[in-house]
Amino acid sequence: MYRVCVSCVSCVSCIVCVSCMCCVSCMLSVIMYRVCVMYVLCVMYCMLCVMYVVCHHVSCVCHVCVVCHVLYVVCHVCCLSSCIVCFMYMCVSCLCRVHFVCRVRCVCHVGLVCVMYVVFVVMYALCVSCHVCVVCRVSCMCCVSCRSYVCHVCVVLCALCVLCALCVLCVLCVMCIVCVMCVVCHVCVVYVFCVSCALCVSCVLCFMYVLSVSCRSCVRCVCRVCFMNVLCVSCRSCVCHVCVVCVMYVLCVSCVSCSSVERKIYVELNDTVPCVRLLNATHQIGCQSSMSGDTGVLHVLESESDLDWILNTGPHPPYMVIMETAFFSRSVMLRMKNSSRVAGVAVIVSKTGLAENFSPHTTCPNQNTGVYSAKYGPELANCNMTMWNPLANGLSYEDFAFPVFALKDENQTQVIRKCYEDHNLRLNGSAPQYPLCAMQLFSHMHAVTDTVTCMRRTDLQNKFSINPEILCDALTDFNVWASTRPLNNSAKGHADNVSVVIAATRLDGRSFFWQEAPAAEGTVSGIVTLLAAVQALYPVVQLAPPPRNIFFTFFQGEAFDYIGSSKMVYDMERKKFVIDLNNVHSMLEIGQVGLRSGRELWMHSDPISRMNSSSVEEERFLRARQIPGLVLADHQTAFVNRYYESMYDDAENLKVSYPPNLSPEEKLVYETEAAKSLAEVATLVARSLYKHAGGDDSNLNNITADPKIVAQMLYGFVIQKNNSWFQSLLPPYLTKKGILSSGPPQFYIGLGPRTFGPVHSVTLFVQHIMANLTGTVTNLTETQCQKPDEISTENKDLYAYLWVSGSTAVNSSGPFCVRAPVRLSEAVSPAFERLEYGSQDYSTWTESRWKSIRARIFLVASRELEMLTLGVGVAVLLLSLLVTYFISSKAELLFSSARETPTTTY
Amino acid sequence: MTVAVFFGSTFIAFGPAISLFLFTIARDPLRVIFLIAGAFFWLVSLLLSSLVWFITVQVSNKNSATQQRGLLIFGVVLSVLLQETFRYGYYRLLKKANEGLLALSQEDTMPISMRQLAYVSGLGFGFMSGAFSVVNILSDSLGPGTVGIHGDPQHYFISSAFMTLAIILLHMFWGVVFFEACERQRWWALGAVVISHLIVSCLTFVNPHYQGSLIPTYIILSIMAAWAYLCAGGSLRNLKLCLTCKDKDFLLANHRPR
Repeated sequence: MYRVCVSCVSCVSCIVCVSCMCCVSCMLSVIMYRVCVMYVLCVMYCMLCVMYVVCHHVSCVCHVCVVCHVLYVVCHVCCLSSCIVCFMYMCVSCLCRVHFVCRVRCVCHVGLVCVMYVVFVVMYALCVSCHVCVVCRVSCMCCVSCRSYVCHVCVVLCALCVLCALCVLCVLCVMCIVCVMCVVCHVCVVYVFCVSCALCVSCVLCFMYVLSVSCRSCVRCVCRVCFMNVLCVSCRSCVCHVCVVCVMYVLCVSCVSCSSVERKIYVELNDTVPCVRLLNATHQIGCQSSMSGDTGVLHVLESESDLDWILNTGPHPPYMVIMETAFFSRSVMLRMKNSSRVAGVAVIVSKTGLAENFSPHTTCPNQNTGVYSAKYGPELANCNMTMWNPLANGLSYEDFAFPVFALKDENQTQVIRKCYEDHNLRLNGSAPQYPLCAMQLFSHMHAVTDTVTCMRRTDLQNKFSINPEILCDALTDFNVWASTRPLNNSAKGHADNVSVVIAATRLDGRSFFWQEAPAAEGTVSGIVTLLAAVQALYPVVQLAPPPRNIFFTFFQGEAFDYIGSSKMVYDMERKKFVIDLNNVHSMLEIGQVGLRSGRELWMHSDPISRMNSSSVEEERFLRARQIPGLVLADHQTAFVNRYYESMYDDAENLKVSYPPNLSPEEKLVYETEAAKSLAEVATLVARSLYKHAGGDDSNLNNITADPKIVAQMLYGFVIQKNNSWFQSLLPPYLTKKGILSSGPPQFYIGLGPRTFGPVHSVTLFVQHIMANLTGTVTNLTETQCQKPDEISTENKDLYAYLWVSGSTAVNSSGPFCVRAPVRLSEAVSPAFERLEYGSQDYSTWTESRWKSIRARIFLVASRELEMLTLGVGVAVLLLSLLVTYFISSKAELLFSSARETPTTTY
Repeated sequence: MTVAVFFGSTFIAFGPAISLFLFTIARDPLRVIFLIAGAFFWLVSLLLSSLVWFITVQVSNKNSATQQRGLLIFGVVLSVLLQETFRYGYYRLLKKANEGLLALSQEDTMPISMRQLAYVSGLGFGFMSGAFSVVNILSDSLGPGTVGIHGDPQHYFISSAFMTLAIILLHMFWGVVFFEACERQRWWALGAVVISHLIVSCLTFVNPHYQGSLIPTYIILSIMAAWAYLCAGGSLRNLKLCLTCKDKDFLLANHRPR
């Protein structure tokens, strides 16, 4: 078969080559016929789909695509990996996967295709010169193209359609599919479909042409390639068709993909942070743009009059609002939310002009899944007694129909401002003149409505599609736990003769924007205090063990309805954890402890089990069982933290500051005031834990937290995670994968780019610091460290074995193996384990997926100029049609000298 | 609303070419083949020049602006020379093919004359070069943005469309003049075609002062149009007759002797 198809021979090795696939599919023309039928269905469905999209109900697209997927499966079975099919398929579902087609990298195929074409043309030339084939009267084995001029025309006409199919012009795409079908239909001899597409002018022309010309020369013959007895000429020449299409295709792709014109028009903004969509059992929160991005004329919000201009009087809606943080408040955002004149918001993140307090969280964090629901004590429900976070504005829990981005890079902010000042500034209150500076934000979210809907759709896709797309992911990660006396990890359920005192804190935070949660006071103060307490407690506990075991745990995902703690309690109740609730003697939780006024510290306890309480994960344990517990915090009723769960809860908020001119290494060990204060709290925590566990009072004075360790942890968690201490704690493979990028870690649990494995970086940091504080160095090799159960002296059930880098100092011994009772346990909400996506009891938070997040600015032209261009274009077209018609009708006369001079040889 | 710009620019750039195609070429299958073959020859010339360009850019110093500018001029000149070489090669091929056609056809007359071939292949060259020069601009004209954020003039799209229109038509006229010159072995005319092609290509270096490149290009276009008209057998007398609608008398007068 390769004998016939030259292009196949020359590109057997390249899998991507379009022509090759098509040749193969030509041989299967009967099968291809079926495929075409399938696609008619598909196209019809897509019409519906377009109608849906026009209705602006984005979520409908996916329904359609599911059906398209089903059709695609059928098609796929019919014709495995036929490239045209794939190509069309992309078009069909391009409403969902916009850029896929253009991403096919065919640019380097240019040469190949051209060479192939040269071969054909040479063959053609030979063919002509050896007097064989022009009008197809004589059969010529080597000549493929010469008999099929008709279809060349069609191909050329249809090439325009192919071209626009590649442009990914979504609105026109359906038309394109129809046109592209013409090409396919030629191959499979189904012209009928061409007629049906009245929209596609070229196809109609094509059809007419086929009727008028090709059928004259069309003889019933055996197709060369597919060896079928068919009616059409074009079948014999599919190779060349393919090549022509290839050339056109390559032409478009190469032009579209490497365009320098784009650089003349657009300025891409790289360092942006979006607000993304999160969903729970009943709601969606966050922001999203439309499928093709939201565009609006830039306007900088600097005063109340600007707001009026944007919302009421400005003549160029919709507006893209640029604002400083000072304006980023609930009232302004809600007014914009209710206006149709706002296309999106970009917030310039800077510390200047920052409000006295800013917390986008709710006033009563996690109010629906905590213990204080109406059932537990009606007078305490919904924070009736205590408003924990009275400064909150609840922005994080609003649903915005437009994109909201944060701009972090100072230079890009300058670029935007300059563009605004050059083009959009109002002079004396009059509207600015075109061209205007505009901005486009892309953050289209795949999931809609709520977790239930989104999960149902994902499951549907999983069932019916061969390449399913996941629409949203549950927020999951891992808890870290350790105990002073190692617990047997293989034995689940109730542990006999064990009574534990739990010391817990949370591991995560969040903010309005995605992956932008420094959570210094909100989370880091607790983590650092508990870690420092472990460090203070551990040596003493080894020497003089108290009767009760002390169980340290760090809960992940607490900001989203207590994912980590609810999972642990759920496992304890179902005997899937090393201990159960009966083993728990009492519980101490570290809340926000970084901002004490003076040396005050508040203890909160449950008003019903002990009569005042807090808003934290102890609630999860309380909800399950009445366990005596305390929460340690720096506030009495309302949080001291003025930036709770916001992007400003950073080192400055925690009052971690260094004298100037310190090198990073000096900063790492510099004992700031905050570090000393936290060390004090840690000492207190450690001593009270020891006492509570039944330890002897005489040992209490030996328990003191080291401010130096606290300083190191603080530096790592709020200033710079890429420091020598963290490097020495982590395994070499993690540092190589770039887990320690510059800047502080982000505490949002979401599923950002975790290139280093399934575990969140903060969880890994805490796990390895715990291992460092509680572990002992062994002399195992790396392979032994991975399989410690092969060595009789080691016990995998009691300890975890971690391979860490060790100090980077010159005289250090390099990586070594640490044995520590530190474990990770899954922090996935029980709702997802039980498949109860609408659960009221457990966290159901999911994060939507998205294709691309980007932002760019550019100028938009006035409508007059656009219309002028169109008018001139139409005029040129009409004029040239007229003139050409005139000239061609008078050609005899105009070019008549040839007739008068018989000496001409041609 | 930038779809308007897209269609406007497309109509400007390809309107005349498409109408020529519709009225003069589409009806004749043989002409379509020659058109596509012509387009293909232009494509191969582009491939060669882009190969050379690719190599020289890799070799050159990327930071030196003057060197890059010189390289650009070199690339343009090389591309023009290659295009004209391929035009000549295509002419030779068509000559050969024509003999074959003559031998094959059952009547004594040629199925297609050399002049028609010249026009068709010229238009093929024009189509392809026009497509290459404007397609990526068109794809960006769909918006939502327009040129100018770096201070470029706003009329970028419409002027590129007009430039493309001129290039397409020029290729057509060059084809006619070139083939005629080869046929009659007037080598000076060949040189004139090459030189005018060089001038038009180099005029684009004046951009972004679009009037500086567009006006001379259209002057050259009108000169080449007149020349091509004369080459194709037209004359001033014919034009006059045609415009004053005396062609019927003329036809009668012409037909009577037969």
